[in-house]
Amino acid sequence: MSQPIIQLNNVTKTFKVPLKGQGLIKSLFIRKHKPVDVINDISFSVNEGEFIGYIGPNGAGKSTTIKLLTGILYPTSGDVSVLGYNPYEDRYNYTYHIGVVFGQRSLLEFDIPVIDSFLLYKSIYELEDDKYQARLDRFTKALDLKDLYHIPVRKLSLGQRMRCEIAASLLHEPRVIFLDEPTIGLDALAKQEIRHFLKEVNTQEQVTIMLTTHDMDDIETLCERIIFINEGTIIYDGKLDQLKQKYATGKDIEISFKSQIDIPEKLLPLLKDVNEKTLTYTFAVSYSQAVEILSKLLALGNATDVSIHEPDLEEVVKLIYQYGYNE
Amino acid sequence: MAVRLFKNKYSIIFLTQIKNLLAYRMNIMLKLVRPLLMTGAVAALWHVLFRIKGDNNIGGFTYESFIIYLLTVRFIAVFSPGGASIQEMNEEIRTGNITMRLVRPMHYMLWLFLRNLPVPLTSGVLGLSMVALLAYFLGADLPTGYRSVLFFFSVFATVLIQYAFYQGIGILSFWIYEINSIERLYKSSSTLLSGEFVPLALFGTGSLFLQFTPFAALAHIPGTIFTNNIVSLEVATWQVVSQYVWAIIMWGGLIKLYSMGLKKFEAQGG
Repeated sequence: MSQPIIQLNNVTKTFKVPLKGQGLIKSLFIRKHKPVDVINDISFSVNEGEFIGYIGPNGAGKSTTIKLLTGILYPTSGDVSVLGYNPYEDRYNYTYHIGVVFGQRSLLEFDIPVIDSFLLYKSIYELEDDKYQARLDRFTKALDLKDLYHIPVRKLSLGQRMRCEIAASLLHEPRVIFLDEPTIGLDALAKQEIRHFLKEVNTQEQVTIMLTTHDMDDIETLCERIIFINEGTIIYDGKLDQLKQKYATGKDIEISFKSQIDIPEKLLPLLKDVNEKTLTYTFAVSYSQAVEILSKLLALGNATDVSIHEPDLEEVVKLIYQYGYNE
Repeated sequence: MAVRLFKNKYSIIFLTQIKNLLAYRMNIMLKLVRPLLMTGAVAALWHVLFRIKGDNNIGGFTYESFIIYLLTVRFIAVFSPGGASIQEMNEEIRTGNITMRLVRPMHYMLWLFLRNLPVPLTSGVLGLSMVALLAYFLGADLPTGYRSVLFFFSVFATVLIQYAFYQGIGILSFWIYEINSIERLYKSSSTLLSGEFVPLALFGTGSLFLQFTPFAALAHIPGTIFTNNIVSLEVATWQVVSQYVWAIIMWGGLIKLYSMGLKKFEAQGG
């Protein structure tokens, strides 16, 4: 059984937020602050080779956790350990072993061509020539980078830049990668390419990956386990499937008819949505009712199309954002 | 050993920035023009003073050695990458982009120094070469032998101290986001106390004290060594030693301040 390589024990991070409304003159000399716990006593561990989805609404504390794990921020209290390092106390040595991508910031040097940034990385991480070349060749092929080498980073599109960022973050063969919204703003194809590449790296190299994102397709495609954080507190840590099952109490049956039909009175309470134009009706049914209700609907005659939907993660997450998580 | 040093990550950062020099060639030229214009303005003022006095000697300076002194201290000031790195650091802390520097195995301040060094270094070398040429044609007493060694060490210490001043202000961005006014305050103080416009020897009784402050290390010490307006080589040697004492104190303080700043850093949000 693999060992935990990321461990957070009772970690709290408090930021000081300046208070307003103290008066113009007074605030010139004395500024009062209010402590706000952005991360509130969280604990979790991650085993080697896991691909973790770290999700939550805006302002939940996702990026702050990543900054604590990468040694950028000091925890106000509690312990953080990654690969046996204390990230903030031994940041210099620790960063040789991790890769980091922040979707809204760039690791690459803006004014110089991509290949020069890679060479700079080779020096920063003190990589040997043959090892560097082998990694670069592999990523060039997998992420289709060849045509981008000689273009200054500032002239790349977002999708091109993100492919380069991910390659740069992996050149030094990190054992843990932290990805903070790596697919933000990307088109569907670019997202798909990046997901495919990340999955490959995770399975082939046994790299531990921690991903924060608002894109639930990223999570469904890549992660088996998710950690859900809200208002600085972890509200769910477990298998993705289990969370979906917990919230997915039933299915949606979507059925279209050739002409207007009279819906039996018994089925009316289950009617969730009607599209008068296409004569499509959506019924929300429990798992046990599904087959019975579907037969009744088909028995009404002249059905032209039927589809059955399981609630996806997006809907589950929306429910949790709206109503909170219930144990 | 030499090959290892060349392959060192910090030398690569410096060399990568050298590659960028061409993109900043206009910046190099402008860095040469500005000190010339400022020296012209100050020289005009001193020209009037020399005429009023009717004697070509003020405090041991002839008008020609004055011009050489003013130009020398101006171009020594150009050497330090402080101005550019202070802005960059302030920007990176304000926007949170410093996070991208902190996730690499690099010392951020050293990286910032080397990254911003090539342009001022090129402008400084070009500028000082011009001054040396001018001094030669004016028949000035150019530094040779031990004095040239002292001058070299003095300029190096000046760069370290000036950078420490600037970087100290940059690090304040961890606490105060708007640091322009502090930078301006520093510039005004250093103009007065460094001997940049008025050699410190002319300040009378207080000048001995002023000559051993970190501000004197910015202009007065290297300037007087270059123009040979020193009391003696022994005193000049002690002045250079005092520069290195200040450099060590200031860099020690800088490292402490930086570590405090990192603990204070609050990069909120993604």
